[in-house]
Amino acid sequence: MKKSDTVKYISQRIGSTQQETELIFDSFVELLSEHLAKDNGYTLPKLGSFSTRIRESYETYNPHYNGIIKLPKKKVVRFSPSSTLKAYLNND
Amino acid sequence: MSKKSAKVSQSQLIEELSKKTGISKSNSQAFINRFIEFTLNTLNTKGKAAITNFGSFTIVEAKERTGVNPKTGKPLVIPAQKRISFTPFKALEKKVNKEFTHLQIELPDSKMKKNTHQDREKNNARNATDEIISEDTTKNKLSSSIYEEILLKDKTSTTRKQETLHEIDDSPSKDDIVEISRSNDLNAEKDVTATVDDSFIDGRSNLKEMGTKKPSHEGVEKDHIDNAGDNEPNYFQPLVESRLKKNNRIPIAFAVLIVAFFFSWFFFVRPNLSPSTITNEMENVLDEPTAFDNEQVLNNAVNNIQGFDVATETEVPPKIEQEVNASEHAVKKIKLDNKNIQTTANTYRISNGVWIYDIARKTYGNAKFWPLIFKENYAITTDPDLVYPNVSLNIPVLEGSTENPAISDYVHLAEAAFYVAKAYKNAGKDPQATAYFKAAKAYATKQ
Repeated sequence: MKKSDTVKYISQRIGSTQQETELIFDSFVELLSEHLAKDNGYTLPKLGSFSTRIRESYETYNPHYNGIIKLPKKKVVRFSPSSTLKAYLNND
Repeated sequence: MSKKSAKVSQSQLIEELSKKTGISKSNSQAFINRFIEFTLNTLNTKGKAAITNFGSFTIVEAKERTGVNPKTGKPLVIPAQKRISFTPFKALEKKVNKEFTHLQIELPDSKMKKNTHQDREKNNARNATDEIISEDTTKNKLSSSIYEEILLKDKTSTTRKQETLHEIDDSPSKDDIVEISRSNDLNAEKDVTATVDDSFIDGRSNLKEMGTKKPSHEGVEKDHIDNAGDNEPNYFQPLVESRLKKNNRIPIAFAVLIVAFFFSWFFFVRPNLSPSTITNEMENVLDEPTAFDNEQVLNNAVNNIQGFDVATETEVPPKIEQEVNASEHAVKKIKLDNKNIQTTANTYRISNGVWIYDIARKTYGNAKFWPLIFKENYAITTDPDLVYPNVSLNIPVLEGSTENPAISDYVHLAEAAFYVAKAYKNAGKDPQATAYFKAAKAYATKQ
């Protein structure tokens, strides 16, 4: 799924030009990622909710170093789908 | 330290978008709705959907499995399901993890890449063995023990360069510049930059100290051994390969020995003799000249046997006038048995798998008399080569000795050889059959 496809689809429905929708698209995605960087979660209706979680440091075996490595703390994005979407998929 | 992320409402998103781009709120709402709609459509139709610079959604199918009902403890069938998984792209990951990018992987040895001021001082001072070990109070005992070993050994190396394992964005990225230029909302800018600066001070200061070393590619470096001093041994030797090589030698040697043993046994130790292969020897034996007195018997025998032709195989048995003699012989045999003259064993009890040839050799002293045994004990339908007697045999007694057999012995031997030849022919072994026909003739004519 390419950006151009989305832009086409949306521009037809909304009634704006593709260049405009492209700009809107970019700004929208930036907005979403910024909010996540600030640890703000949000939901997109019918799709699901996005949030951040902190994954603590843990130890794992690395075969290259032939020993146990301690991985550092990390913040990751978490997505949980909405119930409507789940139902739609499973009942389909 | 799991602080829950604050939530931003839909309306707030719409507001911000409209502010950023300059379009009306209704338009931005419509945009968002269409945006979501398109992603869902592609998900349903293709099973995958991606948003550039953000992430991708994929449908994952989970198989049916049997679980357990936690309340009752009974098995429970969990049906097959479809699930959605979201994988963020690297741009997003970087943004989200900016706080922790300066953290690095801790390796299990003295080459720990600690980037902070304090650690560097400790390492240089060389008084820090105890302190470093106490820091490493992890649950894993292995790592700490390795650490101790290596530190105690390694006291001479002083050079400790630092390496980066994560890529550290020292320069502002293009995206940041674009953001700042586009966004009209000053508050948003400030928030972003503020968070970045506050958390990144330590990292930046260390970067200056490190010097002009280029940041390596993302992930774990592979050439970490470059920093090792010459005195330090290489701890990451491929131990597994050497062990395998050593272990392979021993079983291979054993296998070779066993093969050699079987080879030698098979070809040298096992007796490779069968009556059919000894016909040549027999012929050689028969060529030896012997003297006999009674010519009449010889002539009679010759006359009787001259009748049959080997080529056409008219199986006329050699007529022997001395049928009386034969019976006498039989009687004599029995008598001899009772009298127990000469042979020690008239019946021979055999173990499995002994050739009649060998028995003849053992009893008579010469193996050429084996047809007598065969004729005495076996039907003409048996194959002489395949006879492995494991019961007692009746062994006819020779009238003469093995070294000077009597004429009647030869006569009987001729009969027996003829018998053996017929047996071979019945078995389908024609070369052996012809050989024994010839032998019979030779025995008869010899006298």
